Amino acid sequence: MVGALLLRSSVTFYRQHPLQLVLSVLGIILGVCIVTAVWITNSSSKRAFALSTESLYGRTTHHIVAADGVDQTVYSGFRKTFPHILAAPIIEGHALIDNNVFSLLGVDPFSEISFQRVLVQSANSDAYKLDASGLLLSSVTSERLNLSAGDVLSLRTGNDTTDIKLLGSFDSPNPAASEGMLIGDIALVQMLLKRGNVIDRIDIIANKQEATAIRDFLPPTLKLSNAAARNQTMLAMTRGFQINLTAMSLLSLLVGAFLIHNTMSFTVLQRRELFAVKRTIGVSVQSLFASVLIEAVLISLVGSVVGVLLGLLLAHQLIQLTTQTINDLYFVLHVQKIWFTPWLFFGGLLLGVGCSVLAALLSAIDAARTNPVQAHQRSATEQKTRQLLPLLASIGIVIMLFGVALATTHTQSLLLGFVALMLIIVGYGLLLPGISFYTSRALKEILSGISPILSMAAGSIERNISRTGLAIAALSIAVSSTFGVDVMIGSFRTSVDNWLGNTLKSDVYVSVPSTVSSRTGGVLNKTLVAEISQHEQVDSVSTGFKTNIRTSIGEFDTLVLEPHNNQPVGINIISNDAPAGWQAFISDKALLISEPMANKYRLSVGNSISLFTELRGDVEFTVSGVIRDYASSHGQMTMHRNTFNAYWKNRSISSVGAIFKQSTDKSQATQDIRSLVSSQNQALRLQANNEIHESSLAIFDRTFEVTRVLRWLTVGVAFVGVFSALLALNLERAREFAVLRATGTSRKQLLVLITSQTLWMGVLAGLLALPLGWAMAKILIHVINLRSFGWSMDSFIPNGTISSTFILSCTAAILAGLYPAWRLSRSGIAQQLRSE
Amino acid sequence: MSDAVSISGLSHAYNRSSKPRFIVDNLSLDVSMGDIVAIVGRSGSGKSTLLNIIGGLEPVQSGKVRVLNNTLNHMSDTDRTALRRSDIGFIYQAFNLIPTLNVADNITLPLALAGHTTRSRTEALKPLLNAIGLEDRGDDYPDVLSGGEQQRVAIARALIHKPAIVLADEPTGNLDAQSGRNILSLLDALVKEQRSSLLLVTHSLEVAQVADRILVMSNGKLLTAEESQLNGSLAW
Ligand SMILES: Nc1ncnc2c1ncn2[C@@H]1O[C@H](COP(=O)(O)OP(=O)(O)OP(=O)(O)O)[C@@H](O)[C@H]1O
Ligand SMILES: [Mg+2]
Repeated sequence: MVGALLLRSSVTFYRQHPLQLVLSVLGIILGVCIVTAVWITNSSSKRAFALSTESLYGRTTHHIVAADGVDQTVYSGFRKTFPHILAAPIIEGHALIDNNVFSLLGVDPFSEISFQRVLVQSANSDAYKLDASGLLLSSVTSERLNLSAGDVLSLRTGNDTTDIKLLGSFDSPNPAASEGMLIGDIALVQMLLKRGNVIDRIDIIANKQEATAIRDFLPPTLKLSNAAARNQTMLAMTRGFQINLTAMSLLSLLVGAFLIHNTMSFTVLQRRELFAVKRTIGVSVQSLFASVLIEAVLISLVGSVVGVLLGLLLAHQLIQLTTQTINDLYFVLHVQKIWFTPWLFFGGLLLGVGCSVLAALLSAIDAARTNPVQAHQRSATEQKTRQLLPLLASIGIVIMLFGVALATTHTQSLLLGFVALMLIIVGYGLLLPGISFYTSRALKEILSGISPILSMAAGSIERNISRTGLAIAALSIAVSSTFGVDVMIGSFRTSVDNWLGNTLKSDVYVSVPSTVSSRTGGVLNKTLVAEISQHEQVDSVSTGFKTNIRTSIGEFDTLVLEPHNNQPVGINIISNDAPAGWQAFISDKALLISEPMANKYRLSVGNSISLFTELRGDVEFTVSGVIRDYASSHGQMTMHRNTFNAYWKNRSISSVGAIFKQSTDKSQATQDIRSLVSSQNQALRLQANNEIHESSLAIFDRTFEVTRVLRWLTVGVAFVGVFSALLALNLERAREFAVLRATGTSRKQLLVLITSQTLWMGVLAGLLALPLGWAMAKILIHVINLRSFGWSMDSFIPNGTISSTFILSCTAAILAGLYPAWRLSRSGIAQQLRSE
Repeated sequence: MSDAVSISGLSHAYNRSSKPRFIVDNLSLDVSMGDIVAIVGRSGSGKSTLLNIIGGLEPVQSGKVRVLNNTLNHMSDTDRTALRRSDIGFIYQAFNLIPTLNVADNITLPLALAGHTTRSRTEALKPLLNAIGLEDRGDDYPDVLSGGEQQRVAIARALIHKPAIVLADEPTGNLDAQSGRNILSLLDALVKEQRSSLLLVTHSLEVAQVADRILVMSNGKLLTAEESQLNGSLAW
C-alpha cells in the first residue's frame, strides 16, 4: 500500500519535528478560536436581542406613542372607539436590586392574553396571581437568585427604594430572553417609576385597514408606529459596535490564515527533496498530493475542533465584555446564554481546515511541478525566486495602489473598506521579500569588512530568500496588524480625551443619577437650579435635559441645552462657518446634530429633519451645525431650550453645569455647591469635570476591552506562526550549521550567526511593519471606523507602540533562533553530519 | 620532529540501550609531521568515527589523544574549535559543502572564520581554484556541480588555511577511477607542498598506495598491513 507508506512517512516526519507539529496545530487552534469566539459573541447578543423583543412585543404590530409619554385617557378613548381592535397599555423601565439592573415591565393582565407574550406564553406560571400588590420575576432569575413567592425585594428606581412583595415567577419558552425581567400591574409600575397618569405606549394588533383607520383617528401629537421599524432602530444602534468587532475578527482571521498558510507551506517546502526522492522511486504525483492533503486535513481538523471549543470558552468571556458595552452605550440587554449552533461549529471547522488545505495544496502543487532533479538543487529554486522578486514587487505595488484607490473613494460601503484593507496588506506582503533581499544584500556588503560572521548572517538571508522572504513577510504582517490596532485604539482614546477636555467646560455638574448609564431620566428641582445659578461664586450655568425625539429618520437622543450665556462653551462645531451655525441654533428653528448622525444619514448644514413634537405634531427643523460627539455612535441632536419650549410642554432639567468666577477657590466653591445639593431631599450626583472626564475614559476603555483581548490573541497567533516559520527555517539548516562547526566555527560564533540572522529578520520585519501598520491604522480610523461608527478622528501613535512592535518581532525571532542553536549543541556535530 | 597525532589506549562505544557497542577498542596510533597514512577497513569498522575523534567532533571517551601537542581530553570545546579552525582540514565522506554558499565562499570559509579580509581571501583562493581546475566556477553553487567537482571544492576548503593535518574520509569514494586518481594526485601534491600530515580513509588499494604507511581498522584496532594481506583484500 503506497498510501499507507506515504502516511507513515508523514507521521515519521512530524515525529522527528514534534515542535513543528505542535506549533502548526497551535496556530490553527488560535486562529479558529478567535474568529469563532467573535462569531458566537455577535450572534449571541443578536439572538438575545431578538428573543427579548419577541417576549416584549409578542404579536404586536404597531404602537401608539407620543413625544413624551401617552396619557392614560388616550387608552380608554381608544378602547371606546375601536372596541374590536386588540390593545394593551405598556410601561417599560428599569430598576436596581443590589446594583443589578432589572427590566421592569408594567402590563394590564387582561389585555395581555391576546398578545401571546411573556406573561401568557407558558402554562406553568403564577401569571394568574398578578395583581396590584406585587411583582412577578422570571423563573430563571428567581432560581438563580434563590427567590420565591412571598420574598420582599428592595427595589431602587430613580432616587427611591421601595420594598415590594414577590408574588411568584413566570416561565418563558425562551428563558434567556426573560432573564432579569420583572412584571407588574400597570398601576403599580406607574407608581414605582413615578409616571403619574402616563404610560409609555399602547401596543396594538392591527391589520393594514385598521391601522389606516387608527391613523385617521389619532391627533397629530400621537403617532402610530410600526413595531418592526422600532426593532430596526434598536438593532441599528449596536451595528457599528458589532461591525467593529467583526472587523477585528476579520483582521485576526487574515493574519491567522496567512500564518496557517505559512506554517503549512513550510512543512511541505521542507520536504521538497524528500518528495523528489519519492518521485524518483516511482511514487505518483497524485498519491503524493493525496498524502499531503490528508496530512493537512488531519492536522487542521484537530486544530479546528480544539479551536472551536476554545472559541466557545472565550465567547463566554467576550460576551460579558460586549454586554457591558451595549449596556453602557446603547440599551439594557441581558445575555446570559451563549448562542451556539451547529452552523457556527461547522463554520469554524471549515475555516481552519479550508485555510490549511488551501495552503498545503498550493505548496504541494509547487513541489509536484518541480521535477525531481531540480528539487535537489536549492540554488535553482533560489535563483528562480530571485528572478521573481521584481515581478512580485511590481504586482504588489499595483495591488496596493488599487487598495489605496478603493480606500479613498467616496462610498459608505464597509465591505469595500475591508477589501481595500486586504488589498493593501496583500500587496505589501508581496513587496516585502524584494525589500528584504536587497537590504540584506546591502548589509552583507557593509558588514563584510567589519565582521565576517555578521556578514554571513545577512548573506544567508539573501541567499535563502525563498524561505526567509516568506518568514519576514509573515512576521511583518502579523506584527503590523497589532501595531495598526494599537495606533487605532490610541488615536481613538486621544481623540476622546481631547474632546472631553473641550466639552467638559463647566467646573462642576449636578445631575440626577440614572439607573442605567445610557439613560438620564430624572428631573432636577427648579429651585436648586436657581440657587446654583445665583450662588455668589458661580459665574454662569448651563442646563441640560436629555430626552428622546422621534424623527422622520428614526429616534434620537436629544440634549435640550440652555448654554452658558448663550455662548458655544463646550460645543465643538466642526461644520463650516461655526459662528453662523451657532447663531441659527440660538435664534432659529434649528438644531445641531452629532457627527455620526450627519455621516450616517448624510445630513449637512442646511438640510431639514422632521421632528415629532408634543404640541404641533410633525415639524421641520433645520440642521445648523454638526458637532463632534464621541458619546454615541447612533447619533444625537442638540436643541436650544427656547426652541424646545416652543414645541414641547416639558420644562424638566436633568443636569446643571456651573462655571465658577475667575478668582474663586474652586475646591471651596465645589464644597459650597455640594452642601447646597445635599440639603435637597433628592439623591443627586455632583461631579467635578475631571471626575466625569475620568469615568468617561473608563467607559471608553471598557468598550475597547474586547478589541484589546482580540489584539492580544492576534499577537499570540502571530507569535506562534512566526516562531514556527523561523524555527523550521533554522532546523532545516541544522546540517549546514554542523558543517560550520566542523570547519572551525566556535559555539559562540554559531550562536552569534544564528541569532544575528534571526534578529536581523526580526528587526527588518519590525521596521517594515511600521508603514503597513500605519496604513492599517489609517484605514481602520478613516474608513472602517468612520463608516461603522460615524466618528472622525486624528491619528496618534501612542507612546511605546513602536518599541513594543520591535520587541514583539525581535523576541519571536530570537527565540526561534535560540532553540535550534541549543538543539545543535546538545546533539553533537558528528551526529548532525551523519544525518540525512 | 614532534608527532602530528599521537593516540594511545583509545576506546569509543555507542550506547544502544544498556549494552555498549565498542567501535574503537584500545587503539593506538602515531602520525609524524608530514606523514601520509592510509586507513582501510570494512564498512562500519569505525574509520569515520576515528577521524571525527581526532578532529574533535566526537568527545574522547577513554584513552589519550594528542593532536599537535594538544591533549584533546583536556580541551574545551572552544579550544578544540580553534585548533580545528587553524590546524585541521576536514574532507568528509559526504562532501558537506554549504548549499547556500557559492564555490568561492565555500572554499574561503575557514579564512572568513579566522577573520581574514575579503582581499586576502580572494588572493588565497585564486591559486587553489586553478589547482582544482575550477577557475571559472567560483560563482556557482555546490548543487550544480558534479560529484567530482564538489569533492575538489571540499579538498580546496580543507587546504586553503594550510592546516598541519588533513583528515580525508574517502575523498575519492564517489568518483570514477580516473577522477579518483586525479583528485588523489592533487591532494598528494597540495599536502606535500604544504608539508601537512594526511590521514586518509579509503576502500581503494590504489589510493592507499600513495601513503607512506597503510593501516587496517579491524575489531576496533589499527593493524599494520602486510602487502600480501592487502592484495587479498581488494574487496574493500
Ligand atoms: N551516533 C551513533 N550512534 C550509534 N551508532 C553509531 C553512531 N555513529 C556511528 N555508529 C555506528 O558505528 C559504527 C562505525 O561507524 P563509522 O561511520 O565510523 O564506520 P566507517 O568505518 O566509517 O564505515 P564506512 O566505510 O561505511 O563509512 C557503525 O556501525 C555505525 O552504525
Ligand atoms: Mg565512514
